Amino acid sequence: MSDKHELFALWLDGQLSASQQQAFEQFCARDDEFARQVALAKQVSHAAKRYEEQPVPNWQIPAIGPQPGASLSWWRLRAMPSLSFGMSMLALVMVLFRVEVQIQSGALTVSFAGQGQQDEIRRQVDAEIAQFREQQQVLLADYSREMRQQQQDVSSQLTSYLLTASRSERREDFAELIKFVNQQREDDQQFYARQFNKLQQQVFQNPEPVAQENL
Amino acid sequence: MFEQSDEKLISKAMSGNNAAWQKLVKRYDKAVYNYGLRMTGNADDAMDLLQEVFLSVFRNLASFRGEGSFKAWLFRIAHHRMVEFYRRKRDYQPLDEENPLMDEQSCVSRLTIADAESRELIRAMQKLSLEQKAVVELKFFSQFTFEEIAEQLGVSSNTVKSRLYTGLGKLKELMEVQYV
Repeated sequence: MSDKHELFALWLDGQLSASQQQAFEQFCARDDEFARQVALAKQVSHAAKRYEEQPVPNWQIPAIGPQPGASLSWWRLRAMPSLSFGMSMLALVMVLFRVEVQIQSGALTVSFAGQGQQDEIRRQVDAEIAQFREQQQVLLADYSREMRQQQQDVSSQLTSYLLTASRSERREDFAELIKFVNQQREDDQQFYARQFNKLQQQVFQNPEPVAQENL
Repeated sequence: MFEQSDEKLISKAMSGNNAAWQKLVKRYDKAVYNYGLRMTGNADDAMDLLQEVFLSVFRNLASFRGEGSFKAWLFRIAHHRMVEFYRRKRDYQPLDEENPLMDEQSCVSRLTIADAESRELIRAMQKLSLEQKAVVELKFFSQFTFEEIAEQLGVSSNTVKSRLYTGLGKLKELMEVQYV
């Protein structure tokens, strides 16, 4: 690079010494092109200083997590492996002893060897049986009510039939009795008629008084 | 007065402290957004760039060694994302000084830049190549030294100075044309 370019760069960086400043000014006086370049640099610098920075529109800054190369604090360095080992052991024990943790109705239950599961099954079975019992009781009550109703209906129909049948039989019996009595009376009338005829014939054939004993 | 340093916030953020991370982002999001605005001339592109930059920072925070300032590291990432952004947009256009990026979608006039001089400068900057524009941006707006810019762009200090000198020459022509 030429001297004037070097001086120009130093001037832009604000690092001109006194002798360099003098040389720079001489270049400006002698070299028109250099002077114009300097004037333009001043103009650009001025415009750049007058530039008002524009506000940044709203934007979503990405959230950051721990970086891979980040240094960890002492407690993390010491505690993390132990904590990790401890948690692994706890998980192992929980699997081996079939530990079950249940939260039900605000109560925390810890059980071992699947007891919790059996309790839960038992509880569910009991609930199902109780529900079934209730259903059966309702069904039985409905059934007995229907049976009672049916029996009442049958009794009522039977009573009605019996009353009707006895009334009819009585009527028939009376009719038979009256018929018999009428028949008897007719037979008696015929008998007495024959007796009178017979007596009449005897009277005409034998005008003597008939003995009292022949009557 | 009791503002936490970048290093402190980074350390906390790396251990998973989300509040520290948010504070760190909020400290620099305006600078990165305005860098994007000046480099692309488009608010939507600047917003995309802002999100990509902080996503990269988020992914690479563990690789920040604290050898330089966080701001310089952040702007190095921003420059890389900017290069990728222009590669995506101009897949077949080489990114060298001979092929200035003429971004048809840049719409500086739609930006609410109050100062006319600043607005014209940013409009003229859009006609520079990406490398020239980056040097002008980092030197005049972000106020980095040549050494810092060289480190961020991964080139020598002399290359940065040369790019700035050439870029200013191009800007002079562009601004003269605009003022004519």
